[in-house]
Amino acid sequence: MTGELAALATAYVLLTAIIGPVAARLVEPAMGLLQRKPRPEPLPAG
Amino acid sequence: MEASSALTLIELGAVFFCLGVLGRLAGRIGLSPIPLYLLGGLFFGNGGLIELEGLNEFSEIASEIGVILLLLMLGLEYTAKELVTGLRQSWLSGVLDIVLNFTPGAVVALLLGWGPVGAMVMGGVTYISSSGIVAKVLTDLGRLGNRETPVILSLLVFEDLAMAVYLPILTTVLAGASFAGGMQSVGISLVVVTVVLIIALRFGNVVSAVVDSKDREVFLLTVLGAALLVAGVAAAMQVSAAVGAFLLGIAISGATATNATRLLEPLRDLFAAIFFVVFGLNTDPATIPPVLGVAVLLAFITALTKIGTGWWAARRQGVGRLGRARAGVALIARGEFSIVIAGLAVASGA
Repeated sequence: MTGELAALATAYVLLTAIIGPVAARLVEPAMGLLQRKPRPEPLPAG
Repeated sequence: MEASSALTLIELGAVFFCLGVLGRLAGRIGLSPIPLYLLGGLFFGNGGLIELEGLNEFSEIASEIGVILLLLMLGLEYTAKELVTGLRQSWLSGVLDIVLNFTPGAVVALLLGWGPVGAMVMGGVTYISSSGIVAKVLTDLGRLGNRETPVILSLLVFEDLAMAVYLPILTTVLAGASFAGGMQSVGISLVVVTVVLIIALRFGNVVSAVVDSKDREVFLLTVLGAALLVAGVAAAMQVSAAVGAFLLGIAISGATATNATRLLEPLRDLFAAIFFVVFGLNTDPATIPPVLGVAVLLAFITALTKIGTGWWAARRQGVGRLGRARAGVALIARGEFSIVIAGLAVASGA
């Protein structure tokens, strides 16, 4: 088990340690896009 | 000079130099150096592209000192009072954190047939966020003064406290003690943790005075000596060397803790880097591709569970939606303590 466990732990930590800081940078623009309200339809002329 | 000593110096120098280059690269691309140190270890180690032969004895003990210093410095960040207050304020969010983030690792280990011991190890690996990476991200992004930051910090404090209980139990389980023997060791661990917390709360000033000195050299030797001594005694009592160092860190408070942190930081960085490299060195890169799919799945699931934890905890404190999202995402990174937990399992040969 130890060889596989070390490999899984290493790969897992590598992934989360890279994803975490990147996601922390992107969360504000991503939430901005999600929370952006749709523009109101232009009123019909006349 | 013997040829073996020369080889050790050459290899050690090359490893430190490469770590420096990797650290600089990590800083440039806005990453924590931890993943690059692990990759460096994989590259140089067992089954890697270049195998290092002369570093074994030094690197093993240096790696242990790295873990001790990581935990000691973590303990220095908090006083016993702050830990107890943090626990009171965040226990509900902390329990949710355990349930959501321990479970995926434990379930995967059981599905892989690693049994209850493997489940306990992998649960710990996926549970604990990297306080080092989280602190760096919050600082780099200028979020230390944000409303959600105390929520993040109290969750990290809860996780640290959970580690103080989890690590002794894990050490006992990994030692393969019988149920009665295991319960006895766990009981001893809990008594020691409680006694140290009480001593730290009541007599923190005395502990600080014992290690304090105005002379930098004397102070460094006293603090480092005390940490290694307590860690060694703790290991002999089956409490885990790392936990012993953590408890000593909690017992030291005030200006002594601040000065000790400043003095020990470069040593911690050096030995912790060796710890990550040694973990990579001992991992055969050929064993990673077969588990990569599981690692990706686990990373995805536990990213979502950490976001859920942070979101819920921040919502309880009345933080807005953006702050809740920031709190959740900040907790995704795992790092030093996940590797410490896996390292304990590997060292025990479980």
